[in-house]
Amino acid sequence: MEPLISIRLDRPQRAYQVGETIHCQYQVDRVKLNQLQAVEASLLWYTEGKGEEDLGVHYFQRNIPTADEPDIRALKQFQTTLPGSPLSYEGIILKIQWCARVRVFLQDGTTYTQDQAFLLGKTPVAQIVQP
Amino acid sequence: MARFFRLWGKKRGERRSGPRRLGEIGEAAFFSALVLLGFVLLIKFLVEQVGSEAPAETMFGLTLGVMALLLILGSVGLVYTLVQMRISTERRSAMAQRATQLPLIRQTSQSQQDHPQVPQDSDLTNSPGIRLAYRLPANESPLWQMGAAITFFLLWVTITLSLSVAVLAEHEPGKPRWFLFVMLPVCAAVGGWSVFYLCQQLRRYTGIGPTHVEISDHPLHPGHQYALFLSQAGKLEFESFRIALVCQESATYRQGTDTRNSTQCVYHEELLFRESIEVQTGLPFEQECEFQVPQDVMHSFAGTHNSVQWNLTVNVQTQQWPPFRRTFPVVVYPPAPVPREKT
Repeated sequence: MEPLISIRLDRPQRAYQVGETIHCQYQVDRVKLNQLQAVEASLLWYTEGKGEEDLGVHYFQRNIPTADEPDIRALKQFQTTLPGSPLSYEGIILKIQWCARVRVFLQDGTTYTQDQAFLLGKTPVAQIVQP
Repeated sequence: MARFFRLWGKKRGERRSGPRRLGEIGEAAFFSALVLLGFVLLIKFLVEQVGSEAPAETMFGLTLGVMALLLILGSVGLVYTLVQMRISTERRSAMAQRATQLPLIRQTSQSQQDHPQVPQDSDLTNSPGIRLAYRLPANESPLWQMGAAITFFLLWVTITLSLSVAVLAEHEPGKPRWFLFVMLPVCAAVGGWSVFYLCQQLRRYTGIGPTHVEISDHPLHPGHQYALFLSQAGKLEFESFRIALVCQESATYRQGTDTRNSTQCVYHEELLFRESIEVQTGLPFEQECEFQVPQDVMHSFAGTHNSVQWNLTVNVQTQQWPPFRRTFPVVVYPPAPVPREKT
């Protein structure tokens, strides 16, 4: 059975502006503690479309079990100020998508990923233009 | 069963349809085999050398080098594969980003830190204008085309002359070398075409003068107004002359072993249009205009494989020459953040 990964952003509309602070909470369930190796949380942008994927990480956090904090499944949170660019963009052959991503590493080597997309800025959808 | 034991998978650039883990294991097994082979051969070779009483082989150094190379290549590949297997894409990207921000090897300027992935404009603002603040550099220079035409012409003339000398030197009456006789006119024809092309380029280069574009400020910001000055030299009679602000998406992708590029225009605004103009001899055609960058547009973006590029393009149709187009890149910044109303 796959682990259950929950990600919650502080705004239900999931729309942010440049320079604003984003709050993110995440939690991992349905997995035994001894099966877990690490949990990574990141805030990143990636491209979609015709070209190869580009990716940039704005915030990154890696949790491994320690003596102080043995249970890395518990609810965790982070907050960060959003950068000036790149803004979310829905073009014709290129899309730029922002998301909060949680990646779970199990002891047997398998990984599970969950994304929560959000918008940065309010760039309108691009239209095809004939020059 | 076929799902797990597929002989081959489809490849779309860096994306593969086969299971990733299986590929990683295969890569690790390949490099492990390389290490093992290098190690075993090296030990065997060294034991043989120590055991024999005869003097060392003449190729001792080379043999040793090849085996050591196998060992090194295998070890580096194996370590790299294992590191790739254990580290997520996000972690790798975060580590690389952190490395560029270390004080000793800082590669990013303040503007790049404030606006990541927006291209720098230092190459666009290092040349002051005569009328306005900056003279923009053109994207493509006709000198490259000229250089390529000259290089090809010189190379081909050398090949044709060498072939002609060879045909004459080895000519024996009654024993014609048909292959060389056939090749010679073909080479001469290609040489003739290269002369024609070079002359055409030279005429064009000297006939169509340089295009200068100056701008009042840079980088550009959405909603802001800018002045533009344009100067076109050369003895020309314009049928039409257009300047436009253009935005295009560009994506690079791989198809098999080929790298391809695709572009799509998403914004085009004509800033200036003139027709039927005769340029006086010795005086360049000069125009000034103003334009505003629209408020809600995508900013310039430069990724490794994808980009959003803003350009000022000059399209000219003349009576003497084929239509030509010159492109001047500009950088558009994202709009300034709007302060949120406090509730």
